[in-house]
Amino acid sequence: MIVNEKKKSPVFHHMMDFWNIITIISLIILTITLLYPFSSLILKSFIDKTGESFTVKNYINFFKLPYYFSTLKHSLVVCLLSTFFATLVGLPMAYISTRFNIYGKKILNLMVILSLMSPPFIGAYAWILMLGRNGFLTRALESIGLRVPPIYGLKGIVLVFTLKFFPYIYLYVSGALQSIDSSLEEAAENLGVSGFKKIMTVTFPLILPTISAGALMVFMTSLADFGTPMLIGEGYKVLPVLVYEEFMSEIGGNVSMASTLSVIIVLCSLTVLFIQKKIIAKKNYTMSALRPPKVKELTLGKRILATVFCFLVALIAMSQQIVVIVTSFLKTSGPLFLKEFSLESYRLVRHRLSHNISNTFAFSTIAIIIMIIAGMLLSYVIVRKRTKITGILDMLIMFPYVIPGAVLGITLLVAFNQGPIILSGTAVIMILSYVIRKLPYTIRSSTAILYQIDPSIEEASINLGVSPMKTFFKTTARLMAPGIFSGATLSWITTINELSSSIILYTGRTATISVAIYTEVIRASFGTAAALASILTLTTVISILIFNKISGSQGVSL
Amino acid sequence: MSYSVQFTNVVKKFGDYKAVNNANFTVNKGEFFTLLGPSGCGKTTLLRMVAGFNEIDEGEIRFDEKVINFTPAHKRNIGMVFQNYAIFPHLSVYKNVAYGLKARKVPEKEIQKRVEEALQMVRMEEFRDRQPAQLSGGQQQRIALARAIVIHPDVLLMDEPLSNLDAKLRVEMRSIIKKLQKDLGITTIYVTHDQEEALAISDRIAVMKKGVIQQIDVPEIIYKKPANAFIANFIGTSNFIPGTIVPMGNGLQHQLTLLDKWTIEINLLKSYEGEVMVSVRPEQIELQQPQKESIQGKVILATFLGDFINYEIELENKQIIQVNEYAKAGAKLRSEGDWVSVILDPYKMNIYDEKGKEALL
Repeated sequence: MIVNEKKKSPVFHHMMDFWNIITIISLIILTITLLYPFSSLILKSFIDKTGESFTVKNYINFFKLPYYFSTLKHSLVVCLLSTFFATLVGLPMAYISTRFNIYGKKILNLMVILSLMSPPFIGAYAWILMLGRNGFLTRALESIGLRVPPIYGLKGIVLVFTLKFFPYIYLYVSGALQSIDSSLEEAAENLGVSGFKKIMTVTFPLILPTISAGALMVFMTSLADFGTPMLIGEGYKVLPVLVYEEFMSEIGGNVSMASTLSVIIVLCSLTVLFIQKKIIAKKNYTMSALRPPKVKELTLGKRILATVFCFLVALIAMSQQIVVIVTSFLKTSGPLFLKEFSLESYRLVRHRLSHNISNTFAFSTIAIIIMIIAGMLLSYVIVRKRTKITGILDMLIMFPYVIPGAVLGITLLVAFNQGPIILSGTAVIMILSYVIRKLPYTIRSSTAILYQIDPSIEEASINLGVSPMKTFFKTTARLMAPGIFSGATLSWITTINELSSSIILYTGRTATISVAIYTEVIRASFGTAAALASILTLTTVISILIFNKISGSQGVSL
Repeated sequence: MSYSVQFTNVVKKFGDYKAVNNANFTVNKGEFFTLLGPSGCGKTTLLRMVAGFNEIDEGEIRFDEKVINFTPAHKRNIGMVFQNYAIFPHLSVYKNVAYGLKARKVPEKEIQKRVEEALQMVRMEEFRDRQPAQLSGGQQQRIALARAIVIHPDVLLMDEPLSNLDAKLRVEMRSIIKKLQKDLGITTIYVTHDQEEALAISDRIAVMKKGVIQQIDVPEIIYKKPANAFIANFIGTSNFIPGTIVPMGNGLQHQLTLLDKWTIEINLLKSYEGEVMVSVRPEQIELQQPQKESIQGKVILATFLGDFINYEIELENKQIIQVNEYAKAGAKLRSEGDWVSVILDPYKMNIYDEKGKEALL
């Protein structure tokens, strides 16, 4: 009898080798690009201004000085209000559009996705154009004797966030509503419960986890957004704006205080994430509708009313893009738009800002290629080679989900400004931040599809004589393609629109479109900003349309 | 070219639990061999060790003389049919079947010929250009079978291949598989939890429980002479009636008493004294008009099942047993509440020790 205790059979050796190498390389890269920068950041937050001695003074100051502490309160107020209103808008819209036969559902979906995918601060900018001190709506209303209070401050931020982020609720909840098997609601009716009571006792509890997941997205993105409060907040300062100011201040930024603030934001995000997970723990129902719920036929009047409601909301949400595109074709005189069409803004862009456009596309293309390859390999490691180590890998990769862009920017800059690796001011650091920040989208949708691919398909291929490596590329990767593609589309769109880390990391040479839009707005060069924003919007629309065309589905999955 | 498959002290551990505990047996060349047992008994684990998807922790598996422990899964030249078929969803029927031949770098012309042949064997030739999504479960099953045999495997493995099919199709596929296996003469190891399927299809059956092989034999013996009470209970239906054994003299002659009433003399395999479990199949029991000096019972449920009638009979000790009586022409259905005599045939029963672990007869 031969007992093989130490020797492992070579087939497993071989398979484990390749994936082990992938795991190890990924861990090394993540250590350098994520763990090391974050440790530096945390370390920095405990070092005083002079950069010498260890101190907790930054943290004490944060909680003691109202200048700092008020921003935390502001951020929380903004996030809570935005989440509340986004849910208030998104929930009924999702219910109406999935359960009733309203007109133009596909267009409605596309409009909603578009308003979510616009560059983050364009909403703020557009609403200033409409309802700002000099906004055309403000003036129009004044001319008929109506004085509207200016849009700036808390209400402006909440308005923009609500309109921009309600799509999260809408898209998540629509999906969940369609996955409730109709038998569940029929059972409720059969037991004598109907109408509103049925919704409250069956439908609502079933989609509650989804609502909370959507609400979490609204809260987190509101907490992380930097461009909107910067433009429209004015005196109402929120945390990310403070971080930016502390870091970039022209009178010599206070890096250690900025680090402290960054750590605090990340802690806030993690707390919220933790609370949400705690709330929905054990309440996650896996549902797959054998028979999707019935779409109820409305009478003509009600049908029109429901349609009008949905499209009105979607239109208001999209008004930012419409305003931007229209104004991009207007002649300008300094900061003012004239009532005359021209392509002047576009000429100026081509003349002065074309390198921003090529930067955006070059960086994003490189980033997306890296993300696709990494997404494919890492999701396989995470799903199929599950060990404690790959579990850590999974956590590390998903961690940037809760890091606001500005914080990531500062983190990378603090780490790679000095020391063994210097990357500040290079394209590499921009691409790095994009990959770290947007990779989770690709990974999430790649792992989701991988869970649906039966492992026996791979085994069948190996069994038929194709080596495990070849099997991965010939079969598994091929079957994963739709999932990778859908996640990559989302990564791509959010990358080309990325502002908050770019604004920290860019130099003149590496400025992107969104950075240029921001600086142009600050310089009151509204025409060129509008033209650039239109280019971004158009690219986004085309990307979504290409995706829909290829995948044949109705939209990117979030 | 077909091989015999030898298992020598084969062990598979998951943590401390031995999912396969010291398997020792040989599957003969060209044999249709079935691993049968309830879910979690280790049968699939053992099969996957042959395929190369589970490591062999201890012991050896040999194809003829060659130890395959260290041969990578993709070099074992084994055909395998998976429970869910594992048809490549992105490839047409033809490409699915050709997949293994391409991997073996078989010339295109020969691939075509062999794929056509394989599709003919499973009667799927007109589906060669379909996509898997357009096929029914039974059709996918046949493609999986064609894909496994087209590579001329040394050994064919099947992991519950029929469990996802409806009852009628299952019986049909069963005979297709059996005929194909006999025609090709491929050594086949088949895994199932369905005892009826195992009895119908196998040359020999190994019954497994908790990682341990309980009995290996031809279907008839497995059914008629189960090695222990677990097998008697798992294969088909058995009635277990408690009894007492008293030795008569020093030999193997014993006296068996059931329900304090019915006593016979019987030759056991070894000397024994004490409580026993007597196992009788429902169709091995005869019902007669009530008579003294015999075990009596009351009909509590009669179920007409076409060619036979199933009765539930309550014995005097309140135990309920199953009895099947063939529906002979003119025979009257017994009514619920009727009293009957339950007649046992000593040649058609099995006797196990008190714990049901060892056969005494």
